[in-house]
Amino acid sequence: MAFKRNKIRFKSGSDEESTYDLDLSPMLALMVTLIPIMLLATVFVKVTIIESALPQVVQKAIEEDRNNKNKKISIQLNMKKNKSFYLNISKGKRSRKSIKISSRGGQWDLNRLHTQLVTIKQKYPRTFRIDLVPAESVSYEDIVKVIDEARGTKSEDPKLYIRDKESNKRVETTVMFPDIIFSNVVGG
Amino acid sequence: MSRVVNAMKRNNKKSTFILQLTAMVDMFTIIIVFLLKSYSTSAVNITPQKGLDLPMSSSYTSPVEGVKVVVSKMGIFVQDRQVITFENGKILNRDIASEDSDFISDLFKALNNEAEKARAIAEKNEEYKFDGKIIMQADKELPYGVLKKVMYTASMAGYADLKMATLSME
Repeated sequence: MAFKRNKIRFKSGSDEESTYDLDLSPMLALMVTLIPIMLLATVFVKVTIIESALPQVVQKAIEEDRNNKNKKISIQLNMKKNKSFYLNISKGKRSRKSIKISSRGGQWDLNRLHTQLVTIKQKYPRTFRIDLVPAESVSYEDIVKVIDEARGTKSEDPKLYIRDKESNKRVETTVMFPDIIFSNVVGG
Repeated sequence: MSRVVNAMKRNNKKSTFILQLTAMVDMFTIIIVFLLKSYSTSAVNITPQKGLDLPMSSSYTSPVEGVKVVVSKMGIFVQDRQVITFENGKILNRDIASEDSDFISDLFKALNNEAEKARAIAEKNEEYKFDGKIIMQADKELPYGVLKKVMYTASMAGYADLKMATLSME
């Protein structure tokens, strides 16, 4: 019945406009206030720090490595002025292995360095620390690139495993050398 | 033409008109959604300044609280206060201690002040602990020689836990 009545009204033309304009002015006022506030707190570049959160087994192994005062294996990575790397691996006080990675086309050969580090990590899975010794002229950007290469594996790398001492299970990890120490800061 | 204007005048009898805000509200809604997405309550704020271009890193760790040290091509800033001025991106000899070539005296004083403040707070407030964390924001082109001096001086002032701020590759 009501429907019928409305129909009649439309026909008779008493309610000419069936649509109406929404008053958006208060909404606009709110947005004009909100936008400057949000602009103040907005970041257009995201800052991160170089560290890593890890699974428990891997974290435990890292803590052990950090607390181990009598380290058997120490890895030292030298960054030379001529953009070549020298990787020195010391086992205790006696044996010492040195790998030279020359520059490629006048640039740091980061791919070869990464491959070498993966190989070293496969050999010494419980070592997480690298002593970095950059030359004074090496730029900060290059140091960060090297740290990125050393910190973790890439998707195309072979898988790395750590054996949990308690359960004797192998745990897969992408972490290689998260502890980077600038060993020439003091007395270098 | 005049006929059209007359017809418009006849049809639009009212002297006031309603502004069509729909398109503008649409635009503002999109802007607000974008700003909300990039809203940050991060502990480290970068104040854009001349001579500070952070390197990119694949690291995704969120920044932590610590003493902010900015090493730009213009100089060294501790908590946004300039303590050392560089000339051509290099530390002047007068700022380096004569007996130790890696020791920057004014930087040490500024950091030592910060450390003393933090230790004084730690004495009064048991929940607060001085952990010697330092967040270094350095320009990507600066040589390691300059950064080494900053790190050495910071470690002398009791700040041994260095965090290097970088830009996320995301």
